[in-house]
Amino acid sequence: MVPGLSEAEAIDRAKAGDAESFEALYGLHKRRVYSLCLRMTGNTAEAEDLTQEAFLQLYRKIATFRGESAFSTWLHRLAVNVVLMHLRKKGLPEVSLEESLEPQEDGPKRDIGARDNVLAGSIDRVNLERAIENLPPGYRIIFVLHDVEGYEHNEIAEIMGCSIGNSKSQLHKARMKLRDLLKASRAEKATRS
Amino acid sequence: MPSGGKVSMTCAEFQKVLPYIIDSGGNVGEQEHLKTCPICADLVADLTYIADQAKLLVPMMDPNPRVWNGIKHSLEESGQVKRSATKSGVRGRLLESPTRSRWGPAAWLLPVAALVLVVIGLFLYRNRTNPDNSYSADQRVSPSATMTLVNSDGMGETQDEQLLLQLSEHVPSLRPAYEQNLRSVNSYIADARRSVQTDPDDEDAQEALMQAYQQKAVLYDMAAQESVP
Repeated sequence: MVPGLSEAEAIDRAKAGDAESFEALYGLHKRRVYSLCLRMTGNTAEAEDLTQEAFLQLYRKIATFRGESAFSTWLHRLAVNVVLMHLRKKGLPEVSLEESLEPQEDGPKRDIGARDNVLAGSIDRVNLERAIENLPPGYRIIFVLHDVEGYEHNEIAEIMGCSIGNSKSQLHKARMKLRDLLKASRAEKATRS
Repeated sequence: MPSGGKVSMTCAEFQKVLPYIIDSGGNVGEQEHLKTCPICADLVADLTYIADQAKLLVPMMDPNPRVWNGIKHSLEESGQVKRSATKSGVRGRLLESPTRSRWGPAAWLLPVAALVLVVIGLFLYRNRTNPDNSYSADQRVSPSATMTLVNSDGMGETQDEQLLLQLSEHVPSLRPAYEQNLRSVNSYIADARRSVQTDPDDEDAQEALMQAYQQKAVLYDMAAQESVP
């Protein structure tokens, strides 16, 4: 941050076109925005491009920030929209509006009739980050928005243009898939050691 | 959606409604099934555990400097800012620094601590990227050795405490932010270290460990810069 300048002052100055204050805001929020882009896309190059695009949009739109929500929340939503817009253009599947809870070929399977060791205590953040990276894009987006970033289902439904029920079922599938991935990774490690 | 208050239900029925009731707990019949069915109880425990762990994930990675260069270039190209309007030397900081002050006699410890952390990170990184050329297998630092080094020299706690103490004395308003950041980064280091210990050949875990050390070094570096008048 520019010495002696609070975030609120930096925002006011950036609204007036002060480039140095904008750079300070970039310094404050770059990590969170980049991490969001990286987790949602699972791709470093795309995440860098999207971070750049999000901050360019911030520069253009910062004058419209009225302080009704926290600046970080406002910027976060802006970044989410940038990522989703990109994914739509790219034509990646986001949320299937016609999906059912029946097991899909590549999706997680129901857990009926088998008992395995529970995961509790056996996974850490490195494993989890890696498993999230390996989720199919549609699952990953919902999981990141809900479980990592803390969005509610009604917010996700609004952002994604789907029903709340659809958001819940996709999240469930994402968690089930993660469970499969984490258990497979644990089993693989146990075999090697 | 949750069905009525059916008392007895099968696993298939329970798991069909689970996506919609996992947060609310479900009705009497669903709760009853959960209490009596170890398979579904394990499933719910796992899914809840995953959701809880996800909440602990924190943004750890900074974007490459080329991202900022790209932003600056785009703004200049579009005429939204004048060329070189931003000082190239101005660095964004992660924490507010409303005041600056001098460190006490222990100021030299901060860059040294940062340096040691970076060296550890780089050492692991070089091991990963160039294992054959630089070091033999015997010469490589084992994860447990690294942990011992970090713990035994007090880097984990003593240095952090010293850093926070200095902040409390000179820039008390910054202490909570640094405290929180140190907690996050230490916890990330611990996780990454555990992963490396579990599987010393896991390249992702080594990379994560290196990044975690670098983040801690950046934190110490930022604190050291607070001493610049």
